Order: sequence, then C-alpha cells, then structure tokens
Amino acid sequence: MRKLVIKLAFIIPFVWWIYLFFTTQIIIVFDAEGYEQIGKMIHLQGWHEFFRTGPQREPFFSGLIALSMLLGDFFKISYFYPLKIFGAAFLFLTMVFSYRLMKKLSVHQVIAAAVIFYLGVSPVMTNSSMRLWSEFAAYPWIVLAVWWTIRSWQSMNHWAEDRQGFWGAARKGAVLGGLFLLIMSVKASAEAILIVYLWPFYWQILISYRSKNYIQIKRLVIFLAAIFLVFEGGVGSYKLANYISNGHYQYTGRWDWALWGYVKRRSEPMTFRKVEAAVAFVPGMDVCSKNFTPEECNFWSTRYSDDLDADKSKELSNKKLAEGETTKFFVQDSIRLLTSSLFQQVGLMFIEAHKIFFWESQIAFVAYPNWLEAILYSNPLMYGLKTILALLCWGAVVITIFCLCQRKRWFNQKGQEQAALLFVFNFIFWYTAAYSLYFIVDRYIFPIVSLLMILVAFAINQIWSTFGKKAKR
Amino acid sequence: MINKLKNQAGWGVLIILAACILPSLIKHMIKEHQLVNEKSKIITISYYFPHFPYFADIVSGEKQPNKELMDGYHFSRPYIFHTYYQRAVDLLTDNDSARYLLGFCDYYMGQGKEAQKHYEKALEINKYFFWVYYNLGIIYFQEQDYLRSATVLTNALRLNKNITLEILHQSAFYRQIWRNLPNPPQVLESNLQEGFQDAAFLLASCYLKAGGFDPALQLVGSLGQNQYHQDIGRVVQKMALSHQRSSDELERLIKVYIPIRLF
Repeated sequence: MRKLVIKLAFIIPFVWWIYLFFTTQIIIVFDAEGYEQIGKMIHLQGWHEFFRTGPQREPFFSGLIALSMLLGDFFKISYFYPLKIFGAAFLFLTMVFSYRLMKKLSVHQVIAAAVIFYLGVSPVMTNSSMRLWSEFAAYPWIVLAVWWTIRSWQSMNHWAEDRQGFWGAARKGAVLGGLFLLIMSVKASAEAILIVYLWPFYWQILISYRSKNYIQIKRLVIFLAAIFLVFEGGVGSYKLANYISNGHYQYTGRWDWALWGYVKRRSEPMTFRKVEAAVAFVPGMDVCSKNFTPEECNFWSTRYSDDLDADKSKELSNKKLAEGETTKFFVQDSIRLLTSSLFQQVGLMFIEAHKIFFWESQIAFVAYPNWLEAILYSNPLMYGLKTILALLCWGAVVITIFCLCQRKRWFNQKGQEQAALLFVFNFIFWYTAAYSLYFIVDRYIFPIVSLLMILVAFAINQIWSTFGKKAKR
Repeated sequence: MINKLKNQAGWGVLIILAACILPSLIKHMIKEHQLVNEKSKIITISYYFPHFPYFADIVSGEKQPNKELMDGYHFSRPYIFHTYYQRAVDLLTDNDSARYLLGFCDYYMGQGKEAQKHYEKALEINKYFFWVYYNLGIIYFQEQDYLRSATVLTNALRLNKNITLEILHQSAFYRQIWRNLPNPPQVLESNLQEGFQDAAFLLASCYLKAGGFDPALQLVGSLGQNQYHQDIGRVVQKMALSHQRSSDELERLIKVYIPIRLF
C-alpha cells in the first residue's frame, strides 16, 4: 500500500505535466528576453561568441536554451517544447532526490509521498519549470548536493566501515565540488555559499585535533581539498576563459552595483513607519500597498535601489573612472556602509530573510488555459496557499532549529539523522543569508523550496511521532 | 484464478475509460493550445505597460516629448514606451495603432528613418487616420521632399474628422493614453482641429516652395479668422503676396508650432 502511494505521488504529477506541456505557453519578457538572446547567440554563433561578449549570465541555463533550440531545429518544432521537457525532467529529478533525502531523515513514507506529490503539482514548481527563467535548472543539484554532503558526512563518521580510505574521501569531495560547480553554473551565489556551508567539516577537524585523531583530520582535509580543487578549478577556468575572451576575470557581470544599491537603501535613516512597511513588504508588494502609500512601499522595491545604483553608476561614468575602479568603489563603499550601520543592516536583512517563506503562488510568465488560470489566480487559492505554506515552512524551520539545539548529536555516530537535518537547514540558512544581503525576489527562493518542503515533512513527522507516542501511552 | 480475472477486468475497465476520455481530451488540448498561443501574445505585451500618463500629458500639451523618457525607467516609473510598442508590433504585425505609436517613439529617439518606415506601414494598413498623414507630411517636409509632403497632406485634409475620432476611441492602444486625460473628447477634438490647420499651413508652405503662390493664399484664406497659429498664416500670406518661395521666419515657425504629434 505504501509503495503504491509513493508510485502515485510520482505518476499523477507526470500526467499533469503532460497536460501542461501541451496547453501552456511560455511568455518571453524581461530577463527571459535576455536568456533567449544568449541562447540564440550560443546556438547560432557558438560558445566563443558567448565568452567574447561577456561576462554573460550563468552558463548552464543559457546552454540548455541553446540545446533546446538545436533540438527544436532538428525536429522542426518550437524550442519551447524541448525546454519544457528539460523543465519537467529536472522537476522529476528533484522529486526523486527529495524522496531520498527524506529517507535520510526517516520521514514516514506517507508524509514523504504527500510532499513529493505537492512538489510535483505545486503551482510555483510547475510554473517555474515550464518557463524561460533559469531557476529550475538548479533544483535537482541543490537537493543532490545536500544529500551527497550528508552521505559524505556519514561515511566520515564511520571510518571502520569505509574501506575506500583516503581515495574515498577524495572521490566524495570531488563529487560534491562538481555538484556545487553545477549549482554555480545556474546560481553564481554558490561560490559564497560553499565556503560557509562546509563549516561542520571545519568544526570536525577541530574536534578531531582535540581528540588527536590525525587519520580523521587527514581524511577531512583531503575531502575538503578535493571539493575546492574541483570547484575552484572549474570556476577559475571559467573566469579565465572570460578574462581571455573579454578582459573580465569574473563569473557574471552584474553584482557590484546591485550590492551597493541594496546596502545603500538599508543604510538610509529609518523610521518606525519605514520598518513597518519593510515587514509588510515581506509577503509581497500587494500586502504593502494595501496598508502603506505607494512611496513607502516603493522604497523597499527593487526599483528604488535600481534607481540609486543607476544614479551612482552615471555619476561614476561622468567621472570617467575605469571599470575596475568602479567595481572597487562599489565594493569598498558597500563594506563601508555595511559596517557603519551594522545593526540596522542585520536587522533589515533578518526581515528580508523572511521572504523565503512566501514562495507559493508566485506564478508568472506562462499563459494557461482560461479554466486553469481562473483557479490559479483566484484570490482564495493564491493567498490561501501562500499563507498556509508560509506558516508551514516557518513552523518547520522553528521546529528544526529547536530539534537541532535540543539534541546536539551532530558529531557522533548516533546522531546521523540529526546531521542530515543540520545540512538541510545549513544550506537554507546560508543561501538565504547570501540573498538577504541583496534582495530576495520570489524566484530566488524556488531553488530551496524542495529543501523547505523536506523540513515541513520532517516537522510533521516529528509532531506525528510525538503525539503518536503520547496516544499509545 | 479469480484474482487474475479481477485484474484483467480492472485493466479492461481502465482501457475502455481511457478510450472514451482520450479523444475528447486530445480535442480539448488542441483547442486550448491554440487559444493559449493567442492569449500569450496579449499577456506578453501587458508586461511592458509604460507610464501612460506621460503620453497623456504630451497629448494635452502639458509636457514635451523627451528622448530620455521614450525608453527607460525614471524615478521608478516605467517609461518603456519604445519597448512596449516594439513588442506590440512584433506580436500584432497588422496593428496600425501600435506601428503609429512606435513611429512616434522612434522619431523622438532620433531615428527619423525608422519612424518614417513605421508611419508608412501604418498608412498602408489604415488609410483613414489623420495623424499618420500629418506626421508623415512633417517628416517628408523636413527631408525637403515637398512633393510627397504635399501629396500626403492633401490626402490628410480630405479625411473625415469623425472617422479619426472614432479610430481614437476604438483602438486599445490609443485608449490606454487618452483615458488618462481629464477631458478626453474635448482635448482630442481640439487637437484634431489644430492638426488640420497645421496640415493646411504645411501644405501651403509646400505650395510656396513649388511657386504655387495663389493656391497657398487660397488655402490660408480658407482657414478663416479662428486660427491657432496666426503668425504662420500671416507669414505665408506675406510670402505669397511677395512671391517669396522660402524664408527663415517660416522655417522657424513651422519648427516651433508644427512638431510631430501623438494625436
């Protein structure tokens, strides 16, 4: 019976995707236009042109569009169809990896099936997998990277059973580095996340040092070295390719001015009313605009910070500064602004971080059949689902933090489930922290939705088992 | 044995159900596919809605067209008029209003040739809209192609004003702009009246350039006393009477008082 439930959780969304595949249409606007142009460039002029005109956006999704165009030309169909197939395949992989990850957390199969099913039919997940925006290309790799980290962590704590020794540690590290390289090729923020995400391994080195377990230290060092060798090797080569082709030793070319704009906005004098508007902006612009004036809400929108950095860029270009000097100015001034108003910055980033809970029903850039549109855009469904899932995710994160603090068994062999939970939470935390420094747009949350839903499954499982035990007593 | 039969019966029911549902489902999907394709065009355009009150202010004469405000974001407002109309033209190739408005954006972005191309195409699609003739007449005049300018303006003056007003009322692209006016019918009618007079002045200037002094005099005389730009009328009359083909004064006045307009 349980197996049937799991099978249905995978099959029903699949049937749903077939319907969506034929009846929806991708809408090319804003960033999607840019992606389409880059895809066309790679398809028609090759990767050389992509690098020559760079630094461009992250390469993985751009390559996927070019591949879709190639397939589209071959089968004489619109490239949207191969792209939608890729989207559905990536979502399917995400569901498979999420299921494996939930097994690591010992989540009950029925709960796991419910979460898998929801991931497969969720308006946001299906919408984002069938449009021309890059996020879906990161979904499976993030879950797989977390799963692989847990697997590596577990083997590091079972030396006696791990027969592969140092070579095994190197292999595990290389795979994890490769997975982060994949994530990086969709979301460039992975470069910053990886360094902090691995903190439990650094901590374990310290613990091993205290207990004089030098063999374990050696394995951990090999593991970490393999990760950074593969990851930094890949990233460095890509940056070098950019440097040779267009003179910029960069991965993508749109971060310094954006960072400055957001930091500058957060450093401006705050009033209680402004902070209230920031809180109201968390669920979305529409919630803010119902309670505050357009000017008050506008202050927290991307447009405001875009105006700030656009004005500054104009001012700097009038001064005829070299490009390197402009980047230097933006970075140095961002650090100055950050440190001069540190508490305010952290407080506002904390508010910003809460946006990760309001991910559901943020659907756009896909045209649906009228009957489906009437359901998806209906207020009760949109706001109802959004609120319910925000509360569920928030509750799950609180329960996770509580569980992690209550049972500190991350570093011993008995606490493997606890360690799995730590890494899921760890990724969500650093990913959110990285984006809170900038601005969390709804689509930035989508890659960690599966991890958030895994935490929801874990939390429900915890409550279920706790109340189940009490009921049995 | 019984279980096997049950299983087979179950599969049989499933297959019959699928056979019944599948054809109508496929039919439904094909129909939806076509509808969604059309709908996606409209949705795509709607994502680029610019700040229409700015164009309404240009229509009412409160603001002047500005190159900077034809395509971009200013003070968090989307002045992405060019992008919007370009998208509209890409998706709705036979829409004259979108082409006409794209021509306006192109002109004030310094792309006169592109503007001319769009106006000519808009004229090909719809021959009853006065303002296309008017703007095209000005562009030809600026290019010193007085014959084509005179031809276009002559055709413009033959048009029925009510048809132009009706087009303005019917077209969704024009409506997006004039609905932001405080009193649309009054402004649109008054602008059209002024446009007809300006077209007549420009045509008279074309006559002067070709040495047609009497027709120029007649045309200006036919406008009567209630002229919007009496200065131009006076200069044209003076030039016609003195058989003068061109004057800096007239060029200056035309430049100031007869610009490329929206409607």
